[in-house]
Amino acid sequence: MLKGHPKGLLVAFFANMGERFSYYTMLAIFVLYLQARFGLSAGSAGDYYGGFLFGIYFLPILGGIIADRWGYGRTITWGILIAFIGKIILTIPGYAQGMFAMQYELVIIVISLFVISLGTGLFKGNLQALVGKLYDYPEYAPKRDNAFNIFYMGINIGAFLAPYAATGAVKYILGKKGFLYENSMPHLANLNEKAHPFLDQMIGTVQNHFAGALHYTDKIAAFKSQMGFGGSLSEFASTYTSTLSVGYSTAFAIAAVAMIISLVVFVGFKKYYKHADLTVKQAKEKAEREGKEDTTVTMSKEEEKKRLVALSLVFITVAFFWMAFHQNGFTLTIFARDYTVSEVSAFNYMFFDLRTFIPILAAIGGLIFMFRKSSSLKTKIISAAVFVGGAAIAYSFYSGFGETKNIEPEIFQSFNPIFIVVLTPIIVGFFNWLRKRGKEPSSPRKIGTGMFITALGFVVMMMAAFHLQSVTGLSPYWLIGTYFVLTIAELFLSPIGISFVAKVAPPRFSGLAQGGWLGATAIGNLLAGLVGKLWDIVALWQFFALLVALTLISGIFIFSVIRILENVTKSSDQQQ
Amino acid sequence: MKTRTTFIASLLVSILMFSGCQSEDKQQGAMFQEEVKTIQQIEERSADISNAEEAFVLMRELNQNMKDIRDQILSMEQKYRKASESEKQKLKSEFQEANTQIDQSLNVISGNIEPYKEDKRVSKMLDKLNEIMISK
Repeated sequence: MLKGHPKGLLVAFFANMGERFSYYTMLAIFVLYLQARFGLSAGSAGDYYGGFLFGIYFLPILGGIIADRWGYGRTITWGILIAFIGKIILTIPGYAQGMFAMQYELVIIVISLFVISLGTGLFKGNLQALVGKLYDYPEYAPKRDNAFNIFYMGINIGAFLAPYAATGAVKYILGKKGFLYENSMPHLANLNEKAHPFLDQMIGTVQNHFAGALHYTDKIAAFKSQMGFGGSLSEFASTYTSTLSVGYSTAFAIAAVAMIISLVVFVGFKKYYKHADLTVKQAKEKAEREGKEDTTVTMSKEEEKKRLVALSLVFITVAFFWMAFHQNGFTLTIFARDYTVSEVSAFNYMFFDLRTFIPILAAIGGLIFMFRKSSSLKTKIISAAVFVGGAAIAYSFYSGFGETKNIEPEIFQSFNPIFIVVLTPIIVGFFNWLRKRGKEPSSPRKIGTGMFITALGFVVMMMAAFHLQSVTGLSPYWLIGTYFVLTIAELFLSPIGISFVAKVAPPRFSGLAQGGWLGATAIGNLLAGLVGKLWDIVALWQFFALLVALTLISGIFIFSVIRILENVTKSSDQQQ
Repeated sequence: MKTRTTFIASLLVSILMFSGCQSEDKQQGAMFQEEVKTIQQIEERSADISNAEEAFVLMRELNQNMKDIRDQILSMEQKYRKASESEKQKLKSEFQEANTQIDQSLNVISGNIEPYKEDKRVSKMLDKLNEIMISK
C-alpha cells in the first residue's frame, strides 16, 4: 500500500495519528470532566464543548493564513507545542484540587481550551497542506488521492484507540482507591450537594404512579455499598468525584504525552518532508539563493479565482455530506437505542466486543493472504499462524459469553473507525487497479460518487424504518450495514476531498484552503444538529428519505458542475 | 490580498448565517406550560392504546417529555436559590400548579398502560422513566 509513496507520508501519518489520538483522548472525557469537576449541567458543559469545537474547526483558517506566510513545518511544530501546553494546563484543576477557587479553575479551563484550539488550528489543516505538497512532484502526483486515503487511516487509528486510553486511565486511578468507573456518579453527587425542593417533589409524583422511581440518594447508596465505602453518603460522593477528577486529569496528561510523541516524529524525521516544506515566497527565495531557475507556479488572478470558486463548490457539497454522516453520533444512536434489539446472541455479540472482533478481522486477513496467489511461502506460513491465532483468541472469549449479551447504543459508533482501517487498503487497491487500466475517476467524480453512496446508506435506513412496521425490534445488522456503506462513502469523499483541496488550492493559499475545508466540516456539523431536530417531528422513513434526498441533490450538484471542477483539476495536473 | 479577503469574508458570512438559524430560548414559564400541555395530550392519547407497540411509542414520548420537565425543574431550582422571598413564592406556586396537573395526567397514563406493562419494550421504557429524574 505504501509502495512508491514518499517517506514524508509516513512521518505525517504518525505525527497526525499521535495528535488525533491526543485530541480524541481529551474529547472522549471532556464533557464528563466538566460535569464531574464543576457540576455543570449537560447544557452548560455543551456550551464549553461547542465553543471549543468551533475553535478547533475555524482556527485552522487562521493557521492556514499564518502558514502560507511563515512556512508549514514551522507552523505545524508550533501547533504541536502549543496544543501540548494547552493539554498540560488542562490537567491543573484536577491535579491541584483546592489550590484555586472553582471560578478560577473554570478560567484555567477556558484558557487551556483556547490554547489547545489555537495549537490544533496551527497544526491540522497545515499538515494536510504539507502532505499535499509532498505530491506536487510528477513522480508522486498520480498517487495523491491514495496518499490521503492512507493519511486518513492514521486519523482513524488514533481516534479509535483514544476512548480506550481515556477510560483506561480513569479506571486505573479509581481502581487504586477501590472505586469502580460509574459515569453517572458526578451528576448524582452534584444533586446530593444541594437542596432540591422541586425535583424531590416530582420524583415523589412519578413514584406515586410508577412504583420503582428512584431518588438520587438511593442510587448513591447503592453505589457506595457496591464499592464498599465506609463513610457517609456525602463523604463517598465527594471522595469519588475528586478521585474521578484526578483520573480525568491523568487522561489529559496521556493526551499531552501523545503530543510529545507526535512532535518527536515530526521534528525528528524532518529530512523526509523538508524539500516540500516551502511557501511560494520561500521557494522563490531558495531558487534565488541557490541561483537556480524559479520553478514555482505563478498563477494569474483569474486562475486563482477559478480555483477558489471550485473549492467553494466542493465545500458546499462537503458540508451536506457531514450533515448526513454526523447523524451517526446523534439520530442513528437514538435509533440504536429505541428501535434496535438491545440483546443479541453470543455469536452476534462477537462483532460488538473488541476482544473477539479484532481477532476475527485478523483471522480473515490471514485467510486472504494464505490463499493469495502472489503470497510467498513465508507469507503463507505467517498468514496461517495469524488465522489460527485470531480464530483461537476469538473462540476463547466467545465461549465465555453465555447465550445472550446486552449491547449499548453508543457501541455502534465504534464500527466506523474499524471499517475505515479495514476498508482503506481495499479502496486504495481498487483505485490502483482502476488507475492501471486508465479508468481511475477524477477526484470530483469520486466525491460525487461518495455522495450517492451516502444516499444509499440512508436508503438502507429507510428500508429498516419500513421493516420496523412489522417487527418490534430490529436486528443490529441494519445499522451495521448502514455504517458499512457510510464508511465507504466517507472514504470516497473525505480523504479525496482533502486531496482535491491540496491539488487545486492556489499555491499561496494552500494552508488557508485546508482551513476552509475544516470550516465546511464545521458547518456540516451544525447542519447535522439542525436536521436532527426533525427526528421527533416527522415519521422515521420520512426523516431518512430527507437525508437521501439531500445527499442525492448534493451528488447531482457535484456532477452538474463537474466540468468546472475537472478543468481546474486538469490545469493543476498540468502545472505539476 | 483582495481574493483572500473575499474568501475569508464569505466563510465568515456563512458561519454567521448558520448560527442565526438556531432558535432563541423560550421564557421559563412558557416552557413549563408547554411540557404540561404535551403531557396532557399524551394522557388523552393513552385512552386509545390498543396494543403493546402503541404503549411503547407513548411511553417513549412520555419519557422524552419527563426529561424536558426535569431540565425545567433543575433550571427553576437554580433560579429559586438566588431569588428573593416574593420570587420564591411565585416559583413555588408555579411549580405546584404544574405538579398537580402532571400528577393527574400520570395517574391516567399509568392506568391505561397497565395491561401492557409486562411487554419487554414497554417495561424497558418504564425502567427508563424511573431513572429519568436523576439522570443527566
